[in-house]
Parts: sequence; C-alpha cells; structure tokens
Amino acid sequence: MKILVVDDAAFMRLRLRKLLEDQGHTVVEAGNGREALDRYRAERPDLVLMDITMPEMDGIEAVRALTAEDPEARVVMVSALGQQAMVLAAIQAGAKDFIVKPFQPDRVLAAVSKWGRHG
Amino acid sequence: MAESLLVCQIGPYGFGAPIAQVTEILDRPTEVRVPRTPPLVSGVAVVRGQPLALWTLRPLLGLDPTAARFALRWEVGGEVVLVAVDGVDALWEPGPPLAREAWQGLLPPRILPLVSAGWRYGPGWVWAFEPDLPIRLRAEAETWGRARG
Amino acid sequence: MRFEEVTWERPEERALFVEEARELLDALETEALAERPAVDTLFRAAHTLKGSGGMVGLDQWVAQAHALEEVLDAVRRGERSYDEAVRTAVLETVDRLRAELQGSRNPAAPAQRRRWVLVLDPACPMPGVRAYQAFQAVSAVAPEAELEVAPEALAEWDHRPVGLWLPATVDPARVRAALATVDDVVRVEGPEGEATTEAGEAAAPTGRENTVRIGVETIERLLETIGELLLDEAQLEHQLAGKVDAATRNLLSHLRRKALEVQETTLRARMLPLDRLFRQYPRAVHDLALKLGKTIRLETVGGETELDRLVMDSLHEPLLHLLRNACDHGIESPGERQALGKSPTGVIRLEAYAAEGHVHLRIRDDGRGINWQAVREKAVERGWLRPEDATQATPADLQEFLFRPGLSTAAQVTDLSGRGVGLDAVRAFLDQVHGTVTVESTPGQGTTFHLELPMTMAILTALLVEAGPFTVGLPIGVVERIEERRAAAVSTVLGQSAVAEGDEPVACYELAALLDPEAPGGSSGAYLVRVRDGRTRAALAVDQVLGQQEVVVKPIAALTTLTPWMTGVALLGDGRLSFMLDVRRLVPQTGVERREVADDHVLRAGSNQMELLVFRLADGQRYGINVYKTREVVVAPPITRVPGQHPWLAGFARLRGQTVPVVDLAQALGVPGGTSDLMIITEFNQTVQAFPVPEVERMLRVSWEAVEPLPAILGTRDPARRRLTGLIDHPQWGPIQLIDFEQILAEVMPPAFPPLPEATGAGRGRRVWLADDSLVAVRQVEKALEPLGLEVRTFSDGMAVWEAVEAGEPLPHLFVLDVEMPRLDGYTLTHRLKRDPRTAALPVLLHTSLSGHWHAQRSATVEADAIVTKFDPALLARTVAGLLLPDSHLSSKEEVPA
Repeated sequence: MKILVVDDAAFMRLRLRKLLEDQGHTVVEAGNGREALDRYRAERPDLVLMDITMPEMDGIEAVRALTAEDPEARVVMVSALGQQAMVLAAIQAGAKDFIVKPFQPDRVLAAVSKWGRHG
Repeated sequence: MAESLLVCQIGPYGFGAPIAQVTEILDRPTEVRVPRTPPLVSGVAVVRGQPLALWTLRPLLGLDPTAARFALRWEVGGEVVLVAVDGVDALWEPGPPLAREAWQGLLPPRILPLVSAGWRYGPGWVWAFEPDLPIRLRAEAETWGRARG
Repeated sequence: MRFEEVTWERPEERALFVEEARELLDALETEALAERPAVDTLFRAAHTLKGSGGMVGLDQWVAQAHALEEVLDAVRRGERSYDEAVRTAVLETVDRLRAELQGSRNPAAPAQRRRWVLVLDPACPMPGVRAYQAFQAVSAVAPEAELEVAPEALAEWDHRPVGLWLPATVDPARVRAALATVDDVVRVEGPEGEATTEAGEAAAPTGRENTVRIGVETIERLLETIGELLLDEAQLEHQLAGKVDAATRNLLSHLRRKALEVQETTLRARMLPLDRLFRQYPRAVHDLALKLGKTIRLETVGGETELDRLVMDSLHEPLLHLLRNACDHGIESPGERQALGKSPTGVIRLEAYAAEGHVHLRIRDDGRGINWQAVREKAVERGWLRPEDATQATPADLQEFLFRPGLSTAAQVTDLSGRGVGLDAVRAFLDQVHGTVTVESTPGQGTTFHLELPMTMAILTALLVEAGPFTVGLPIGVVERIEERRAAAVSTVLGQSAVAEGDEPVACYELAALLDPEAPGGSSGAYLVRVRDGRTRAALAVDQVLGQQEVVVKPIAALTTLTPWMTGVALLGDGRLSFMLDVRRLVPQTGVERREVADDHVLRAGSNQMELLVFRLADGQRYGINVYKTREVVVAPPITRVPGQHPWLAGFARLRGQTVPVVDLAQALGVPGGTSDLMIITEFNQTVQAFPVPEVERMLRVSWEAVEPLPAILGTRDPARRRLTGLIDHPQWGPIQLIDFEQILAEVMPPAFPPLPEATGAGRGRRVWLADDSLVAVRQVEKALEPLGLEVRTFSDGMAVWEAVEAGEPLPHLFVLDVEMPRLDGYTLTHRLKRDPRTAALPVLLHTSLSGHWHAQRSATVEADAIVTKFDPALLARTVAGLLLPDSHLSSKEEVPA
C-alpha cells in the first residue's frame, strides 16, 4: 500500500517509514497539514498516518480539509496520551482511528491493515 | 524484529532495549533506597519532580548491587520507570534473531522471562528485553520473597 | 418541533434553557420519590416546564408536560390521591423530557428502547474516543442509536462504562458484530429493559454559578507545576538562608504563602460535593425496589460534603453495591415487615459528613440485620475460622469475613447483588484509597455500614522525623503526641516493648527497625511519637523530630503493591526525599491489640513464665520485680517529705496529677542507700506507689519454676524478715532477688480493713484451698472469708497445691489462687486443674494484684471461674460465696472490677 506519513518531526517520520517499508509498503512524507493536502492530491495514498499537533494547519483541520476533498480518505491520527479531546474532535472531523505514542509496531501495522485501502 | 535496539551493558552482559520504550537516558541518577523492597528495586529517583522507581537487574544476574551508572527511562502502557544499566553502547538494528535454544543456556535462568530474542554482537551477545519489562520486573519482585524461601 | 431542531439566537440561551429544565426535572424526580411529596411543588414544576417549552416551540414537550400538569392538578384539587400511578406518571414524563433534551430523534417511551452498556478496556488510552467510535459503528447498523453521554463529555471520559440507547427492534447480533470492529471494547452488556438512571456526568450544579468545565488532566498539570514552584521556592529559601535581609525573607515567605494558596485552591477544584453521586441513588433504589417487589425509600443527608473527585469516581460502584445489598438482603418484603410490626416501607439512610480530614459515609437500613450465625458457619466452612474459635467469635471479629470474596449468605445469589461483585470489591476500593469500613448490625433492626475516606490524598500536613538513615513523614492526623523517650514507660507486655496510655499498654517500636528489619539494631530512638490510625495504636521511637510541614505526596507508581506501608514520597525543600507512611499498614498487627494476646506462645496463660524488671540497688545486688506490677519507669521527680512519716517512706511525689508515696527500698531491705535517678511506679491493691532505684538494668524472661523460695525465711512468720519473696539464680545474670513489694507496702501503709460482711456461716462445711506466697495476702483473705465460716487451708505456692492434688488428698470445693507464686504460678495451676478430670469441675478463683485489661484476657483463656483484684474483702467474699453457693443471696459472678 501507499501510505502518507505526516509529522513535523523528521525523526518520527523516519521511524514510521522504516517500520512500514520493512513490511513492503511505499511511504511518502509531509511535514505539516498544508503539505499533507498537496501530497495527498498528488499521490492518492491508501492511508494517511497523521500526527495531531503540527504547525501550519494542525491535524484536526487537515483531516477536515482532506475528507472534504475526498470523502473516502482514510486517516489515522497519531497522538500522545492526554490529548483525548483532540482525538475525539479529529474522529468527529472524519478520522477513522488513532494510535498513541510511544507506539508499538504491531499496533501501527494492525491499524494499517485494518483501515488502509486494499487493492 | 525490525525495531532498533539501544544496546547497553549490565555487568558482563549485553542487552538491547526496544527503542520505542526508551525515552531518555539519565546519567548517574540520584537514587534513594526504598526500605522493605527486594534488591530488584534499587531505589527511587526524582525526574523533573516525579518520583520514579529505579529497577536493577543485577540480582537476577547474580551480580552484587552497585549504584546505577545510567538509567533508561522506560515507558510502556502509560507507566514510566527507570532501569539501571552500567553502560550504554549504541543504537543497533538487529538482523533475524537466533533460535532460543541456541542461547538460553548462556543466561542466568531468572533473567530468561525478561528476554525476547538474542543475537551475536561483535565478539559477544545481545539479548533484547521484552517491551513490557517493567511489568515483568514487578511480577518478579512480588514473588521475590517466596522464590528464595 | 423538537428540542434539537431549535435554532437558538445565542448559545447562552440554549444553555440557560437546558440548565433550568434540568433543574426542574431533577426537582420533579426528587419530590416525586419523597414520602409525602409536596404536590404544589410538583404541579408548579410541570407548569413551568410546559411554559418554557411552549416559548421555544417544542410541541411534544408541551403535550407531555401538559398531561402531567393535569394529573397533578387533579391531585392538588383532591379529585384523586397521590398514588403509585401518579408517581409513575411523573417519573416517566421526567424520563421522556430528559431524553428529548439530549437530542434524541425518537423519544419513544422507554419500553421501546433498550439500554446497552459498553465496557471498555481499562488499559485503553482513550476510552472516550473508543466510545465514540463504538457509537459510530453502531449507528451504521441502527441509525436511531443514541449515546447516553454527550460527545463533549466523552472528551474527558475515563473508563466508566458508557450507556447506549438502541431501538428494541434492532438485531443484537448485528450490533455486536458492529461493536466487534472497535478496539478496546471489552464487553457489551445489554439490552436492559427498564429505564435506568444515568451514571454519567452531572448536569450543571444548581444555581446560577458561572462554571467552566475543566479536565482532570489540566488540574493534574496545574498541581504538578505548582508543586515544582513550591520546590523551587523552598530551595531558594534554603540556599539564601542567613544571607539575605529581612525584606527579602518576607518576600520569599509571601511567595511561598501565595504558592500554597494556589495549590490549595487548585486542589479544592478537585473536590466535588457528594450530591453529584447521591442524586442518582433515590431513583435507583426506587427502581430496584420495584424489581424486588418491595417498597423502599432512600434518604440522603449531607450531600454538600465534599470529596476529592478522584476518590469519588471510584466510590460510585462500591456505594451502589452497598445500597443494592441493603435493598436485596437487608430490607424485608412488605409482608414480612408488617408481620414484624414494622412499617411496610423500608428506609435506607445514606449519610455523609466530614470530620478531621476524613469523609464519613454511613449506609443504614432498618431491615433484618446480618445473620451472624450464617456468617460464622460460612467462615468455618471455608476454613477461615476454626470451629473451636467460632463460638467465641463476636460480630466485631466476624465483620472481617463479610469482606472476603466468595462469602454470600443469601440462599440464592440474586441477579442484583450476587453478580460476583462482593463486598470484597468494597474492601478493595477502600484499600486503594486508604479508607476503612466498619459494620454494625442488630438482628431484626438493621445494619449500618460506616465508611471512612481521606478527604484528599495529595496534599498533607506531615510530621517529619528521622529514624535511622530514613527521613519519614507521618500524616499529622495520626499523631497524638510526641515525648522524650526517657520520661516514658519502659515495660514489656507479653514480650512486646510497650508504653502506657492511660490504663492500656500501647506497643512501642523502633521506627528504623520497622522500616529495615535487617539493619543491625542498636539505634535507640530518643523521641517517641504516639500514633493512632483507626484501631491501630503505637508509639514509634525516632531519632529526630524535624517538625511539621505541608507536603505533596506523590505515589511511586510501580511500587504501590510492593510497599503498602507507604502512600508515596514527598520532596522536601532541601532536596531530600521523605517516605510518607501509612501507619495502619506499617505497624505489625500482632501488637498489643487484645485479640492477639493468644498468639504470644511464650506468655500464653499457663506457660508459667513472667517478665522481670531487673535493677540494682546501691549494695550492688540485683533485684527483680514482676513487670506486670510495674506501671512505668520514670525519671525521678522531686520528692516532698512529710513530717512524722514512716522511716521507710522517702516522701511523696506528684506524678500525672496524682500524689504518690515514694518508698525507700534500701531502707526497707536494710541495705545501704545511694542516689537514685529513676523511679519504678507500681500498682498494688489498686493504689499507686513509687520506688526509687539507681538504675534499671534490663528485662528478663524467667520461668516461675526457676524461682526458689528463700529457704532461710520459709516458715518464718515474722513479717519484719520476709521482704523477699524468692530468689532466681540466673545462668547469665547471677542471683536476682524478688522483692515482696506487698509486704513492704503493708508495713508502710497497712491497708485499712473495711468492715467485714455479716457473719453468716453460710459456707460451713465447705473447704477452700488458698494459695499465695505473701503472708499479708493470706491473712487478708482469711479475714475476709471468716464470716462465711469456710474451712481455709493455705499453701505458699502453686506447686504445693498440685502436689496435694496428686497425693490424692480430699479436694476442696473451691480454689482461691494468687497468680504470682514461686515454682508454679496461678495461671499454669488453673490450667492444670481444669484439664485434670479430678479437679476440672471445681471452681477456681484467681486473686491477683495484677490489674488491668491484660489479665481479664488471659484468665478468659485459662478458664478460671472468676478473677478478683486485690484487695477488696467484700468483693472477694461475695465472689467466693457466689462460686460456692450459687443460690446464696450473697452471690455475684464478677470479673475484674472496673
């Protein structure tokens, strides 16, 4: 699958990239919400993993914008503990699910296989 | 397991801590011994105002206690503890793990439930800790008195 | 139009409407459930609801309110009575209007909807989100699905189960399939038929307060930050101490005060009134009662009492369980109640009040009470209690078993209370919050559960002390007083070091030793801190008392189960870490608490052992006195001589408000005198005396068998010579002479013989065997029993009595035994007599100068028939008469007199 990883921390994007590529997925990256919109249009990924707190358009806004453009968009939020209210808002805005940091690889992969667009 | 490990030493043994769990490395943490706890609990250290349990695996390895040289801040399932180590080496990406039978005889038996996989590492070995190490240590501590009789 | 379809001009309008409506609905509900509802109030509430609904254009709302209004008006005018049907009408209308407020599209009568409950995994990091996801998943299958909790509330949700309303017609299998796609949903319970009350978030508090919702996490962060602020301030003070001027010091002090204020205010923000919980209970009880076919009313008192929200959250389930218990097992059916002469409506009273930093909750029902016999039997059946102990177990003892898992004395486990949530869950909750529970119950009258909870756990005023290498804090609420050790008691009771507290012994421990039992001993604390935590009392010896301080206690998450004696740690200003103690869990339970007496093997009654307080007089010889006779050892206070006093009297001293005679032992024993720093305070014949000694050496445990009666004095009836009662040749400490204090006292202050009871000769022909090593006592007893005309034979120690029994001599009708005697003490002798078929049926009276509660306990285990404290001749005579002549008007079976 093609997966778009959105996070303002390069280190986080790197870790997720490694994890996903090892499983055979293709990964594209974006560093903030605005970039994410651009990359989404260009690449049409099967799933988006998006951090919830980012500069220049945060996760919630980005989800809203994404799903407005593509109602079929699959977005899974990546969040730290204690941000329940924000995650709830993201789900209400159209996100499908969430993963908490520090994340466990198997949870990430489970979310990917559950929500990603297969075939 | 494709995940990186933080390779560290405890006594003569090399261990790998899953990088997803380790959020910080502390240098010579100030610890206070907590009375009436088994030797697995080295003490408690205060990190940014929070008292955290400091665990040491030395008793399980048959080593004498010492003050912690480094402490790994270990976070799993919302719980945060410190794990004492003697040295920190590097980040390492292991290849395919060896069959358990190949190495389990090399480790003291009490440490085995805490270890998930093993590899050759340079001239020696590295054993990876289970990500839920703190929970296993707690279970070990609670049965400490009974096990030793 | 329906509520959710309304377009509001401003959000404040909507909020106001909702708030007012909720208030009215709550008032309707509460009033409807009261015993004698004020119908006017009900009517007015319905009327107002109709009015405001009408202004906003809510058609169905108005229709329902109007219908209710009509019914209530009829009651108001006397055209119908307020009966169960009316009550149901009110409650159902309340339910429907509430449902509409929550935005339901389909406010069908509750019977057409079913309530499901989602139970979330406690380990789930964001339960509120999961609940919402579950709702989304189910909505796909059942579009009319409704969450019981508003989405905004889910933003702060913890792991409480979430209610979900679904139409009754939906296919449960599809619902479960939908829910299976959501992670962390552990269990789905449902559907339940009747409407049940919300157990979720509260509505806005009554009144027009301006409120802001704030998440618990926010408060936690605030508190942590303030904690660090305080820490910095304390460190600043510490570093600048002595180096700054008064103005700066004042500033620092002001800073600290302000920070503490903020901390206090923030903590109070976490306190909520218990009403939040209580409000839902009357309805719940009412519904429960209906299910059980009973009528039960719940009264709540003290709902304004505040409790830390964190504690309150976990209080709900246990409290509800106790209420269910009361409804289910406690209150009888109306028929039963009437047959018993009780009112058919059972009453449960839920009362809350605050006292001394604790919140107290009492749940009292007027039902059938606890069947202690059934508890007893269950306890034996489960092996928690030995059959031989079972008969003696009192309700106080049996209480403990109520809280063990698996105890259900109901004939069948009913769906309501027996669902595996036993009272052990209540106990678990209390352990977690460091609370306690006690149970009182009177058969046929009712049961009361009394819970005690700490008001808030985070911030404490602590007494900081040093014990060995540890810095330790005790919550100020458990500290009774602090004193220097030297001035306090040095005794051992039943092998445990103890000090006196009034009349009772209190166990004394080296705190450093309690904390680290393996550390080499030796540190002997200079100060004693007397503590009391619930039923646990102790005196803790510490090295230094650092003073009182406000501290923030932080638990060490990973260690809570490993260190139950510690509630957490506190960071002190100088950077030190102090362990905060939970006294109840730190102090060994086998202290000097009464029911543990039997566990002390060595000094169990009949073991023929005693503790000797050994001291030396100026002649260098060692002397000993039985510790039981010792009240305490103190630093010698000033002594006042009185003209014309006995030469052996050193004078009088004031001790705790009492004037106590001070007897000069050296004079009495004819040995050279010297200076004495200490005084042994003793109690004989219900009076107090003091004996100065230069030093007290040690405590020794010795056997009565080792005490040899002094041969040269045996048989001498010259009281002037007999001031020693025996000699021990101790293998380690050499010869120790036991002093006959009673004899000495008798000389110094001869006891006045109170007038003897009338000579009746009622006991003629009866034989009494009297054993006592003190001649004075023997004479006293003989005189006391003279009027009864008994034949009294005396023995000078217990062994002589036993030998007479063994020799087959004709047995007496009664044994009157002293306790402390050489060779075989009174307890051991009694033990033997009661176990020997020859003498088992013969009554034994223990006559002893050992007063206090301790001995009542021991004799109870020893099966003596009576104990009488020396010296009260009338009481002795009456007791003897009672034992010998049960039908005598002189009889009275009494134990230790008050």
